Amino acid sequence: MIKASMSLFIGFFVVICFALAGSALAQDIKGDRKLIRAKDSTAYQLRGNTDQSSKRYEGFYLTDVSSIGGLEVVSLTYGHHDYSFDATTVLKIVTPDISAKTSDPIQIRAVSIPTKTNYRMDAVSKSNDSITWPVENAFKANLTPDKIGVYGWIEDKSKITYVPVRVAPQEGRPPSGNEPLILTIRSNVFVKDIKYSIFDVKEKSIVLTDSIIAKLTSPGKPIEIIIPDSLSSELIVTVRAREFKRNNWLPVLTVEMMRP
Amino acid sequence: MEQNYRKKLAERRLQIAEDAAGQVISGKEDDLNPIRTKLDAISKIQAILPARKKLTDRTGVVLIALFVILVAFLWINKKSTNALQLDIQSKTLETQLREDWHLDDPFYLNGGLLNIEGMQFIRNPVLGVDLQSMEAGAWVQIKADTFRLVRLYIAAGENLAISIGDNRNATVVARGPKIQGRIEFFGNVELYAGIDDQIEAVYSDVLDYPEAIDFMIENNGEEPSTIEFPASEPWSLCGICVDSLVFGMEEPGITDTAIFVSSIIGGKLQLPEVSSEKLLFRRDPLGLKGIKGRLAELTFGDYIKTVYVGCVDQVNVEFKASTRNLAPSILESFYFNSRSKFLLSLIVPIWGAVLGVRRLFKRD
Repeated sequence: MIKASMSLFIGFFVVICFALAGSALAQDIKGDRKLIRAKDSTAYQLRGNTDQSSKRYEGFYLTDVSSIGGLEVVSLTYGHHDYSFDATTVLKIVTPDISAKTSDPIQIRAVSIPTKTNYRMDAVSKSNDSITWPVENAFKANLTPDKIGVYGWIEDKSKITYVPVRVAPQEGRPPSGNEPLILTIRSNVFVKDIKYSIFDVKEKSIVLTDSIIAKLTSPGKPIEIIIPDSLSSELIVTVRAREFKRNNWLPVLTVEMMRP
Repeated sequence: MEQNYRKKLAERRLQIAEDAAGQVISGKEDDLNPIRTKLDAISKIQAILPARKKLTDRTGVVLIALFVILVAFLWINKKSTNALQLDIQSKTLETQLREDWHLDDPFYLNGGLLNIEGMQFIRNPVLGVDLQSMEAGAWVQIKADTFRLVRLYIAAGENLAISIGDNRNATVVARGPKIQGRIEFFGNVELYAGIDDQIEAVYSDVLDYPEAIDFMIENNGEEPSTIEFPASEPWSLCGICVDSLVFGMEEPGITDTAIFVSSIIGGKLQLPEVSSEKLLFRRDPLGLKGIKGRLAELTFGDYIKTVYVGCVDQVNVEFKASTRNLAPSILESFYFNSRSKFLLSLIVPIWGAVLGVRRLFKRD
């Protein structure tokens, strides 16, 4: 009788334990998408630990494939990247003096302009300062100066303000300082009817309107907008383009920028 | 040890009885008195010994009682976390976000009136709209032929009270950490924007390209922010992780006080772990406690269609004029979740019970 009762009790107890454990595992629900990082030496990771001015996150990253068309800023620099580099080159990225307007740190980002390359460098600087960027990893990733865009930006609660930077090899000829300010954007789909307007925040008026850049532009092709020198230091560039395939307007790209 | 004595006494008794039978067969009935004396002595000893046997039976009874109590406990108590699927149409929905959410795919809305109020920032300096109100008093009203929601970010912890008006326009009333977005519009555009009761910007034009308005509010616990979308063809949001769902609304009562009633129009709920399904009809009350899951679909049209997949602690529905929790008992869940294990496990206790009963009868 004891054995029979014990076996009844233990048998039931064991199975209850199994069931409760099983149900606990089944309810571990996970959602939300995360940036997925490649797991090798070229992956997006912290680099340049020893030298504060070259401390940065850099490398390839994996991200969700999106079919949604859009425009994005890939570069805001003075002048073109008319230099070459190799594995030993160190680039110097210089931020403008905007200390009179903000004391916020300036985020520096370099991106590969062709779509689907997914290479990025992120660093932080301050007004009227510079960082150094050893481009060994970018060079090994087959990126060349014309395939790299660089820009600075400041983020506050409600908006992002882009800040132009100067880029040149650390050991080479320094920029003359007279280069035009060039905003470079790209689309991830074929676009046509690209239009932009420039709004002068101080003048509170649109100073340049609806200039068509090209009839048809392929994904990842840099689209350059030269910002006239005569304009004030705070501008809003609004860019619109139609997706060639569906003939609808892509979401408007609004680029608020600040310069000395 | 006691069992051995009992066994030896029984054997001895049998042996004495066989000897006596042999004597009777051989005609020696007169010599049976000593045998009778021995048998009486054995019977007296056996009468003394069974006390231990009763104690053994009591232990068995205690174990069986414990088993019954365990079964009763598992039968009565509801499982705390249960898989739940909902597909409900309602006039309102109140929910709270468990994780940050942002819009993946911009979508168009029909033309009409868009109303955004109770914001800290509403901006498009190009249109003359650059409003900043730390007291969350910024507002904008836009009439346009076409709208497109291109960005929407809602932070975890934001409480959203969503309702559908009689003319199919969805209104979202938000309180919480942060909500930020951008909406585009074009065609015949008429825009008014301001702070509190002051109109700060007026704009009207016929646009053959989109313009956009950005809006943002942070930490609004006091006055809620409101986004009233224009009446439109059905449009959907998806993948919102939530930790509460309330299908209820206030209605005028017989007296002046409002009463809280169910806003459900119809739908069904499923508890897949126990293969249970319940249809819901207009005004069916539904109380969900311990929600932790995802809105697989949230569609706005003539009504709000909510498709929820996740977990729940309690599912309270009205049943014969009282409230009943549809969540399965632990035992039910155990049976439905691991039916093969459950049935397999029954072999051992059933075999044990049969063996015990058999022994009980054999002994008696």
